[in-house]
Order: sequence, then structure tokens, then C-alpha cells
Amino acid sequence: MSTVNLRHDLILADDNIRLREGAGRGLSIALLGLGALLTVLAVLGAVAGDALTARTALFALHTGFILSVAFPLTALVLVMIFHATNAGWSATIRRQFENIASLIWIAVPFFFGILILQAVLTATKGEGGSIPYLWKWMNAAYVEGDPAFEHKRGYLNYGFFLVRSLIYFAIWIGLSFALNSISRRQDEDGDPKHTITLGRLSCIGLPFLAFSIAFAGFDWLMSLDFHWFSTMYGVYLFASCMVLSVALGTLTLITLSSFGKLAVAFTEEHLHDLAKLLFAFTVFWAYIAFSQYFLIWYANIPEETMFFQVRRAEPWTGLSVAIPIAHFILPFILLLPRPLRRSRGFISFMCVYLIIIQMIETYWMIRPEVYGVGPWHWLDFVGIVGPVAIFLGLFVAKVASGPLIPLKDPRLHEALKHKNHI
Amino acid sequence: MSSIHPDQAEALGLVGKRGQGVERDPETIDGTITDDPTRRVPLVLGNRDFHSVTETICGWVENKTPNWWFPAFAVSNVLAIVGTVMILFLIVTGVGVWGLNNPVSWGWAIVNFVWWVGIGHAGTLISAILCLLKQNWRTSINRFAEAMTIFAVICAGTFPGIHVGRVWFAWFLFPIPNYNWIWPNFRSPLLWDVFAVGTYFTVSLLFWYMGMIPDLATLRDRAIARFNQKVTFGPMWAPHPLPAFVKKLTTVSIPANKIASYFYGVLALGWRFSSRHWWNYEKAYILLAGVAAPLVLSVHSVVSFDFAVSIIPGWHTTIFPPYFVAGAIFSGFAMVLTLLIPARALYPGMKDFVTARTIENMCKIITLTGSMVGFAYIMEFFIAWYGANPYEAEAFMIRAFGPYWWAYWIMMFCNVVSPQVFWFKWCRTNLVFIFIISIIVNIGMWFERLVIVTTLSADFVTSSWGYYSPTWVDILTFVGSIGIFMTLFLLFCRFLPMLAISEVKNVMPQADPHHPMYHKDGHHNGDQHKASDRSEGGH
Repeated sequence: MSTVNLRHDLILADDNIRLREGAGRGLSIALLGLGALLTVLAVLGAVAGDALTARTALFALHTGFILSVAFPLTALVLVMIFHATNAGWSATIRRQFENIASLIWIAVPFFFGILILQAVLTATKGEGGSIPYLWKWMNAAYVEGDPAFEHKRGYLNYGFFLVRSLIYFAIWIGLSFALNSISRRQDEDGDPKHTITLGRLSCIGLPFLAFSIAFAGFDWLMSLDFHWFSTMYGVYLFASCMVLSVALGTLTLITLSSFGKLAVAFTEEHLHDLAKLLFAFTVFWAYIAFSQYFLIWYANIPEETMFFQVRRAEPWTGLSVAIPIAHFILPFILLLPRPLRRSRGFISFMCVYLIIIQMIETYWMIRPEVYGVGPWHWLDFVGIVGPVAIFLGLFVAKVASGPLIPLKDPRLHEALKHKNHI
Repeated sequence: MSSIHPDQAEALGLVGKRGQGVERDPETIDGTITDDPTRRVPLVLGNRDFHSVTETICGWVENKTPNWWFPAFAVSNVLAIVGTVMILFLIVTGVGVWGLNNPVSWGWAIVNFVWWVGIGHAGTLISAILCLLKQNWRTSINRFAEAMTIFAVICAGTFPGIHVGRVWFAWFLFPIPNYNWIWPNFRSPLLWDVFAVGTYFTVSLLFWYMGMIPDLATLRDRAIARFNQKVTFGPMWAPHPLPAFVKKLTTVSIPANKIASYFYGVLALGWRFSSRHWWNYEKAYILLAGVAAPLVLSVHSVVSFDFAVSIIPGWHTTIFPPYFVAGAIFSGFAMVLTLLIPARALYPGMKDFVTARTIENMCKIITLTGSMVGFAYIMEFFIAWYGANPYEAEAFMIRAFGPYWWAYWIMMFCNVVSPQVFWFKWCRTNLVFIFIISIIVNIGMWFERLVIVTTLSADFVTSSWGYYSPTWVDILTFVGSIGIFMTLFLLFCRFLPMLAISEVKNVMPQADPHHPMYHKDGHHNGDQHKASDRSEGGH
């Protein structure tokens, strides 16, 4: 490809940067149907089964909820980093990440669904309130007389928990709505001032995002067992989930270009850089996960080791050993050679692989809290894939709904000419 | 163009505006401060060609030593000597000359060690990570920052060495069986420090030196071109003015260029600028960048393990590794700015390379990393309460309101509050202000380590609480380490190419064969760019 002679009229032609009317509708409906079916199955499993089965189903659904929030949330982080750093290379690929981020509202129905299901289960088979379902601290009988809980009562109480969650939703939905609508407004009027606004908004938004992600991690995951704590947890959650949106966005771009879209707008060069991001976030995860594990292992203080103690013991031993290998060592070796990073086939495989591994790791972070039920219960599959499939169905519909690149981004020409010289 | 000497150009007020005719404007400073997303600002100003770049950067080495250099060098030298004398005094007397006491068995030595290692992070971040991120604006500051890294790590390495008390046993630090096949404790983070800092120093040094080889060869060739010009030295080494009779005695002519050609020639390792050399150079550069990138994270993570693997309240917390790394980059960038801003004012023509935009970008990184450090402080504080461990919570209360409250609040102000000023454009473009903030940040990061170390003063048993304060030896050793650092740095400024000549040329429009200046016939239709393709980075 010559970097000098670019025919902008051909690149920006409708058949290159728009999907035809109704494209992907079948896939979207199929995914939504599958997701709804699986979610309903999981809910039925929870309602119909005994207390332990119900807990399993609820934890699986919670994992599904966290994952379907993690996709848009990390995409939002990525879009904001693109804006804040005045990145040029990402101008053509940014729209797909904006599409992922725009679905952040999905957190709200899922979150309340989980809370309602927990309340229903506690009421119907809580055996008089003695069985804690999802968040142990929400169960008055369970926390009775626990000095650790007494200390944390000011933070871990229903009202404050809800207020905090609503604040997170407000920050995330607000940022994603603003970034998306300004970016789409630029599609129409092509005003470069919008780029400045987007940059400023992202810089100001990033600190809010950092704190909200960390505290959402504390609230929704770390406080599942309120005894355990780790200062690194917010960073750890962020580091592990970042790969989700990078992989999903890359996969979308590869799929679109395999249907003959995005010629020149998405090339091997962009693929190469996205693969580098996959690599970088894999290594970053390894660094953070190792540091957290290592410091807790070395100090060997019971109140901290309990998190890993459960996961290192049977029946979770195998998974705990497999995750570092599958999430770090293999991708590290496989993503290192340059030819592999520039291969569409291989990178699409890696994207699917990393998304699955990340789903399993999130599962590993959450599900061992259900004592007495080993991994790979059928409800795990149903409860996790259900919400994620709903999210993916909505995402497919979102991709088809508008132009595939920001049409009038002032840095479009930089992205079109992007090259990795080394 | 090159017929004007850079010094002369500066005197004539031509540098920075040559050929442009642009006056300084308060809005864009030197034309590079702009939000305009439709163009990228140039990285090299002054309408320079390749030759004038070489002339200017080599000129700093080849021209007469600037007048300010001698007093600066003298002061640094005196401080370095004071530091060395303090170290000797320590060795012949014992660590009792320091203010260490029983609860606080680590004092200024470890504070200074961590502080210097932290400062040493900017160079490798700029040269390795920013290289991998294709941030081309780094080319004008990377050599400078890498040199600073090397010297900072040298200063850092001194402190653990002398802290062992009996320095003649310092080799115990290395994994050598010392007696009856007794090895050092491999589970001790202090041993990992030796590996981490040793690796970091080695790789940084290689990276710095390898990057400098083409420029050293340039200096060698330029010295050979003036091979037979003898340089007459007046009383260079003595203060001016001297009485006439001394002048007569000390004026000597020496073949300085001959000496320089050998000096640079040996260091240039036979570099001949062949395309094969460049090919290998680029490959090696990117490989070293890849190797150095994880080292930026690993060194300070291991340094943080020194504290975090212990079970002392306030030290053992899982966020320490990334928090230390962010703090290290924060202080490193501050130190680069502290050195760069005066250098930019003192060396003629440097403003053309280190543009206002470059400084602005560094300010933004300071705000970013400072905010990361602030994030970590808040996480620590929150979890200290949330963890429901009374000792942990108490340690934090003592930090903030105990006998060292002043250190804590200095740290909070300098590290968290002060970098937030760079949200405002005026602050990011006012050099005097940036200089002051950079010093404040350096002070803040020093206090951060002091706050961490003095956590020892109040441990589990109230009866063993104590108060640590430094002695005059502590203070003078620290001041002396700054002297050693400055001495090395001034020598670097005087004798080595301060900017990476070849890299700066690489980001100039002339280096791009597709640049419009080579295609005056305009056959590249549809190509909208206005500024250079190779500018600013972020592609």
C-alpha cells in the first residue's frame, strides 16, 4: 500500500464503511435469544433447585453480570485513553470500541436483576434468613456478632451500597453517552473542535473512572466475602479485564474486514498494534496478579491468605495452576513473534482464546466463594454465557447501526497512513 | 545556513526563529502549544537542516567551555568531596554516626536509596516505553534522561553498600558462597534488590551507550577533521582573571583534537555509518527497548518488596509494587525537568529541539503519575480502615497525626496536590513555575520514602516506640550524593552529545521520503496532511 496516494473518496465510500441495512440482524437475534434462554434457565435453576444449587446459579449469574459490564467498561477506558493521548493511529478503529462502550447501560438491569434474585432466594429458601446468598454481609443472621463486620458496617450497608452503585452507573453511562454522542456529532458536522472536547472530557473523566472501577471492584467482588481485603484489588480487576474489550474490538474489526469492509481503514498495521495491546495487557495482568499473590503468600497472614487458600485447595487447584499458564505464559510466547501478530487468522484465534480465558479467570475470582460445589457445574455455563450472549447480541446490533469509522475525525488521515516501521 | 555558528546564531537572536520570522506569541509560546487536532506540530524548530542539527549538538561539546560551567562544576565537586568524606568517616567510625536507633534501624540511607532509584526510572521509561509507544517527542530528551538515570542509579547503589556497616563485607550481597558454601538468603528482598538494580543498571548503561555510538562516531570524525589544529589552553582550570605572570606560565598548547579523536574513536567502536551498521543498530535498539521496558516495572517493584513482604503495619500492602513504580516515574520526570529547564536556557539552540510542547508533555506525565500515587494513597488509607486491622489503621493515623505529621502532610501536598496545577495551560507553559513544581515534587517524593521508613518508629509494642532524627553526617551524606550526581552530570554535558543526533534527525521532515517538500509537483492527491508525518508521535 502506498502511503502517499490514498483515495479518500473510495475509502469513505458507503460500501466500505457501512454495513447494508439489516446486516447482522440474524446473528444479533440468535445471540439475544440464546442469551435470554440461558439466563432464564439459570434463574429457573436457582429458583427450582435446593439452596446450594441456587447459590451456584446466583454466583454464575453474578459472574455473567461482571463480565458483561467489564466489556463496555474497559472499552470506555480504552476510548478515553485514545482521546486523552491525542492518538492518531486509532482514529479509524475507535468507533468499534465506542460501540462496545455504549452498551454500559446493560449494567443497570443486570445489577438490579441480581439483587432482586438474591432477595427472592433469601426470602424463599433462606431458611429463615440463615443462608447468605451472594453478598454475605447482606445477610443479617450471618454477620451477627462478627467483629470484622461491625467495623465495616458504616460502609457495607444496603443503602450506601446502592448509592455507590448508582454513582458508578451515573459516571459510566454519563461518560460513555457523552463520548459517543460527541463522536457521532462529528460524523455529521466534521468540526475539529469536537476532538478537543473529547480529549478534555477524557482527561477529566479518567480519574473518576479509576476510582469508580476500583470501588466497584471492592463492592461487587471483594466484599462477596467481606473479611478479605487487598489494596491492589481495583488495579487487579482492571488489569485482568482490559484484555476483554481489546480482544472483542479486534475480533469485530477482523470480522468486518473479512466481509470486505474497512479496506485501508483497518490494515495489518492496526492489527499489529492491537495485538501489541493484547500482549501488553496480558503481561500487565501477570505483573499485577503475581505481585498481589506474591505479597500475600510471602507475608502469610491468615486474614489475607484466605482468598488464595480456598482457590489453592481442591477442587480449585487445577484451575489455579492452569490460569497463570493459560493467561500469561502461552499468550506471552505466542504473541511475541511479529508475523503472528500480523496474522488475521491467528489474532482472531487469540482474541477468542483470551476472552474465554478471561471469562474463566473471572469465574475463578468469584465462584469459589460457594463452598461445597466444585467447578464446572452446568449452571456455571448457563449463568455466565447467558448475560454475556445478551450483551454480544446487543453489540452486534449496535455495530450494524451506523458508520464503522468516525467519518470526519481530523486525524483520520494519520490512521489511514499508519505504519509500523519496526 | 551552517555558516553561522550556533553560538553566534543565539547571539543574533536567530535560534528558534531562523527562516520562520515568527515572533513569540503568548498563546502558542514557540508555536508548538496548540490543541488543533488537524495538524501535528513540528518536533524540531528553527527551519533546520541536518547539518545545522549536527553543528549545534556537537558544538556544545566542541566549543569553548561555557563560563557558567566552571563554578557549577566546582560547587558540585565540593559537595561530592563532602559526601565522600562523610562516607569515609562512616566507614572508619561505624554506622553509629548516623541517627539510626532501635525501632528505626533504617533511616536516611534507605530513603536516599529509594529516592535515587526512583529518579533513575525516567530515563528508561522515556527511551524504552515511550519508544515502544512511538512517542517521537522523546527523541530530544532521551539521551539526557538516560544519562541522568545512570548517575542516579550510581548514587542509589552507594547507600546499601555503605549501610552494611562493614563495607569490606559488602560482597556478601552478591550470590557468592562466602564461607563453607553458605549462600546469601535467596528469600530476602535485599538480595533481589542486588539483582534488580544490577540488571537495571547494566541494561540502562548498554542502552545509553549503544544509542550514543553513532553520535560518538560523529564527534570522532569531526575531531579528525580538525586533527592538526592545536588548542591553546589558557588558565582553564583556574578562576578568572589571573595575574599576568600566571597566565604566561600556564598557557599551553595541546593537540586536543587528536586526544578527542582517540577518546571518541575508542568509544565509537569502529562505527562507519554504513547501512548495515544502521540496520543492526535499529534492530538492537528495539530489542533493548523491549528488554528494558519490563525493567522499568521490575526494579521499583522489587524495591517496594523490601517493605511490602514484611508484616509491619503500613508496609505490608499489596498495592505497593505499582504504586512505587508510578512514584518512581513521577520523581524521575520531575528530576529530568529540574535539569532540563536550566540546560535548555543555557545551551544555545537547545530550545529548537526541546520545544515548549515537549516540556508540556512531561508536565502531563507528572500529573498522570502524581495522580496515580494519590490514587494509591487513598486505596491504602481506605483499606487500612476497611481491613479492620487495628494495627494497620493505627499506623496510618500515626503517620498523619503522629510525631511525623509534618512529613506526611508535606508529602501529601507535594505529591498529590502540587502536580494537579498542570491541569491548567498557564502552569504547563511557564518554565519558572514548572521548575519550581519539579523541585517540589522531588522534595515530596523524598518525604514519601521518609514517611514509609519512619513507620518503624511506632511498632506493635508501645514501650519500644522511638523517634528518629538524622545527624549531621546523614544530612551531609545526602547532600554529598547530590554533589556526586551533579558532578557526573556536568561531565556528561561537557563531553558527550547531550541530544541523540541521529534520532532527532529521524523525526525531522527531511527524513521522510514521502514528505511534500520532496514532491513539489503535488502528485500525492488526496493526501491532506499539513504538517510532517513524522511529528509529535502518538500515531
